[in-house]
Amino acid sequence: MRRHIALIFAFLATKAIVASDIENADTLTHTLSELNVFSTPAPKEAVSTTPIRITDQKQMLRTGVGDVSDALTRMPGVNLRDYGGAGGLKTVSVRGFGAGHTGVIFDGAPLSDVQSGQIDLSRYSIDNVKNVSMVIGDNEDIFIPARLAASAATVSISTMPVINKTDLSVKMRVGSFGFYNPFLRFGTSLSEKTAFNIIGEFTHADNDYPFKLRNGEFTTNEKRTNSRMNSGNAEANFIWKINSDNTLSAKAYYYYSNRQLPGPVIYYNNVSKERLHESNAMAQAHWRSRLSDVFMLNGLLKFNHAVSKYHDENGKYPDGILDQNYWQREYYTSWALLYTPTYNWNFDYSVDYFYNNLNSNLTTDSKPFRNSVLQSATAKFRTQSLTVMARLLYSLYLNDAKNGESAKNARRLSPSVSLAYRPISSQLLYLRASYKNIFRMPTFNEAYFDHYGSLDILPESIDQLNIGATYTISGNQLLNATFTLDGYVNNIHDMIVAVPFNMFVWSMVNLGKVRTYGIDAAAEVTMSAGKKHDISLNFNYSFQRAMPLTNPESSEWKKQVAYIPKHSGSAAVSYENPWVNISVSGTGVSERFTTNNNLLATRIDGYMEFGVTAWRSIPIKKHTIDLRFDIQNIFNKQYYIVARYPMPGRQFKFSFAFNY
Amino acid sequence: MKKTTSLMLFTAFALGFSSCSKEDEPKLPNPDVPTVAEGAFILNQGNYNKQIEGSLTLIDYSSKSASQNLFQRANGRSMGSTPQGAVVYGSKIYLGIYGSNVIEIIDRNSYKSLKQISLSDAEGQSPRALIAKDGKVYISMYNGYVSRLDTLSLSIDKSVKVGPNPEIMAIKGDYLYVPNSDGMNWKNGYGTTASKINLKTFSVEKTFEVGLNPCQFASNGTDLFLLCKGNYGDIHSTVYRVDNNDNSTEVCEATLMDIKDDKLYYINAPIKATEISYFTYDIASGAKTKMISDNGVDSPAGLGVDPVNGNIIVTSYTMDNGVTSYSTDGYAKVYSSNGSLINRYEVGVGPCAVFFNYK
Repeated sequence: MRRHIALIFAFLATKAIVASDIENADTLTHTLSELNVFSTPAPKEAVSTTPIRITDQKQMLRTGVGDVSDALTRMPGVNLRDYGGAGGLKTVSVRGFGAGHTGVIFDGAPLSDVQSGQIDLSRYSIDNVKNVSMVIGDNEDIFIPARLAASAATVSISTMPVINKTDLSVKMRVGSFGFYNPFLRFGTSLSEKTAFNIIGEFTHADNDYPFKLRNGEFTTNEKRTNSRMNSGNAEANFIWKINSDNTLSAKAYYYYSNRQLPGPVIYYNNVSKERLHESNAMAQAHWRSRLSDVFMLNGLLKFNHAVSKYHDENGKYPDGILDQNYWQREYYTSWALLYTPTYNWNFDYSVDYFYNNLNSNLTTDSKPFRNSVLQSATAKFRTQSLTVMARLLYSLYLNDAKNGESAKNARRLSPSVSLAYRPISSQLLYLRASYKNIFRMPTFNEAYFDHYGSLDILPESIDQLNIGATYTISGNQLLNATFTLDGYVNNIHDMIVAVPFNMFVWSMVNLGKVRTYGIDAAAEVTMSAGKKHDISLNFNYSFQRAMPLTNPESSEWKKQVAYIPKHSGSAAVSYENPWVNISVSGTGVSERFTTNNNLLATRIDGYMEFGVTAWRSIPIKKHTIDLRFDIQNIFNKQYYIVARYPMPGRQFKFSFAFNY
Repeated sequence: MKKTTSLMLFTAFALGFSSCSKEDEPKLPNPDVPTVAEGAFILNQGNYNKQIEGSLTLIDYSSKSASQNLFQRANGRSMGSTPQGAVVYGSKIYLGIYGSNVIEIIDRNSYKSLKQISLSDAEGQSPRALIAKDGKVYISMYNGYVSRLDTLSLSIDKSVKVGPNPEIMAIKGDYLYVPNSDGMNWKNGYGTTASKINLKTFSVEKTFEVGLNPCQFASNGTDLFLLCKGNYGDIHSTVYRVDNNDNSTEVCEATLMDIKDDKLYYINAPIKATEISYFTYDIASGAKTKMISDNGVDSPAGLGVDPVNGNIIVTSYTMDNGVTSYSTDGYAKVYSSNGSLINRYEVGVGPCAVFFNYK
């Protein structure tokens, strides 16, 4: 029994991050049902010591979500940066701190970009995504790489698992503005213990959507130009269940995109010849081993190579051409050891090493690289009514450069604690509180970029404090619901800001101080209106007050940080029935400013956007055909997320899928 | 053929008018020889990515007031993205809008747009600086051209290729001097040439070596100076005197300059320096004296000396959080020719260019 419990814990701990390949391990799925005997029927969102949201395929349909970034914006506290159109750069920031503080995990391994610190989420389509989750503060799962504990917030994308039988999925999506997206997945077992799948996907979009441009007293009808994109990715996954105690899984992934960049809308000038070519190759292998009744080991190896090539043509450049090419490489390994001496106590020690470098075609490039070692020690205590978790993360970042001076090294100890308490044993009411101190390293741009970066730059630190309550109604035939409410305060110290010496020469300094407080509220209600008739309601709301507190003399003092709305939220209603399922959803964001001092001229209007999704799954013998139809921005609302980048109006999308 | 005709026409008009004026008719000013100083225009480049439009401000000497946002108010629309240079000539103002890649020609009194010239299919593109003489406006184009705009037909009649990324030009005699900054080639260390255009033929007569990153010529008609911004590192922004053989001699370190009669006015606000210096340089004697009587501005953006009355205009960014802010409104200080402060005015965001309203 104890052995099983240990397994269960291991399973739970790894579920969110390695769901893609562990689920065919029969023993594990079998033991999961045993867990329910002494666990509660409350979802993970409710019992976690820190705020967490999980959106799975079903939830995505119910809320009309069309891509990964869309799924994230339906989570409280998340702000999306979207430059418009399919394949346009999309990044998320959480609770008022920059996108660089949000770690992104893809099938258990962190994605990284040492140059800009931002991960473009537009690359990850939902076709092969099993679920998308977000944790603010510490992940309650403790059996994780140390690096997963090194961000203020973490987004995890988990892809569909490799299953131990023939798996064929063919999908085609078509949509407005020249969008089409074929997708293929094929998988099969090679033997009783091995299975693999391959995935291929291609996306094309013209993105030549119309928009209304207001210029003083005049409004003109314009069209986005130079916005076409092609992207594709190919993936192969392999799993080998060596024996009941050992599993090895591996992934090879390649992505490329070739897109025109429409740039900001400029009055009287819609000529743009910018292009961006990106590619990313990665390979990763996971080894999971149960060493004994009380020890589990998790090993991870990863290699990542990313290329970004920016190209522009204009007579102002030497020879009429500007090419900025960047190459970055990462070698990564992580080892985690889980010790579960009793049901109540869990301990984890994780150590990560990674090497990153950045090369470019710029003559000013000093070819910087970084060696990093992260270690974390975590203890978790758990009873039926109380979960307490504490972690210490020790980070060591050693900077160096091949040609020239290197940026400062960093050594930091980052503590975090969190707890969840269930005061009344008959009620699924949980109270939670958490504290996490964390920082982000300066990006290579911030440290090295010519006439911009600064070698003296220090990490940017955050203290996060969260208290919350969750309530779940469960086990009822007619009504299931989870409500969560969190309040938080974040203090950002040594914020990295660019200060000008003149228009051409900038420098990065640790000048800024920002305090954010806010409220995140979410509700998820499912009602049964008879057999096979379900109605679900999803609701979330965020209040964010992010105040620059750098200098009382400054015009920014206690204003709202640029691009952070005070109010944002979304709601969705769905009706699932034997005929055609339907959902209606809406998102709303209040006004934002492009400047920290909130000048009136730099205001961006708030907006509300609505969409409708209809879907149906048609079984044909053992197979299914899934049909889905979406109308996004149904009222054709013209809105902006980033200044000068208009978002598309009404759009239609149709998807057809055949699943073997 | 066409351009010769318009030139002849212009000459005919000019002659016709000047002959009229002899007969007690109201005298029409010669736009090349202004005599009445009315005020100074400030061209504010805005901050495009932060959604702040470029704008035009007029500081009126007689009423001692500043009128903001003249273009938008007169035309109900934005001037466009990142205006860089402008000139008053005759009854019109010619504005070069770099980001929008257009030339706006507006009426000098009503500010109503008379013509917007789109340059997207033209040889010369991305206008930077403008200068006018003899019925023509010359525009340096960042794609390596100088374009000539005829002020009668209000169209560009010819463009000549110069070096890369030309900036602020000056006219000395029959020659237009063009600094080829090569500013877009910063990764190979900027340019070191200037082009000399013969205005009679409107063709490049000579390309000569100058200091690093040449950005502005200034001339009083007989003397010629060149400001080279250096590499923003070990090579500092420097002013050179360029002699009749086009050889440069170093005069001083400076980041902004202008010229009137026998004096060069300059401001030196080097990178990372705590002190900003303001001097005039006597061209004949070489004597340097303090330009202004107060302690100047926070973060100089532009400098202009009124060619008629000698008023000195210094524009500045504002400081926020102890550093220069490129998103808040700037200001301009107006000094009399002897350097005493006349007044201070709020202007728009990014007051990068000063040009004068004279008749």
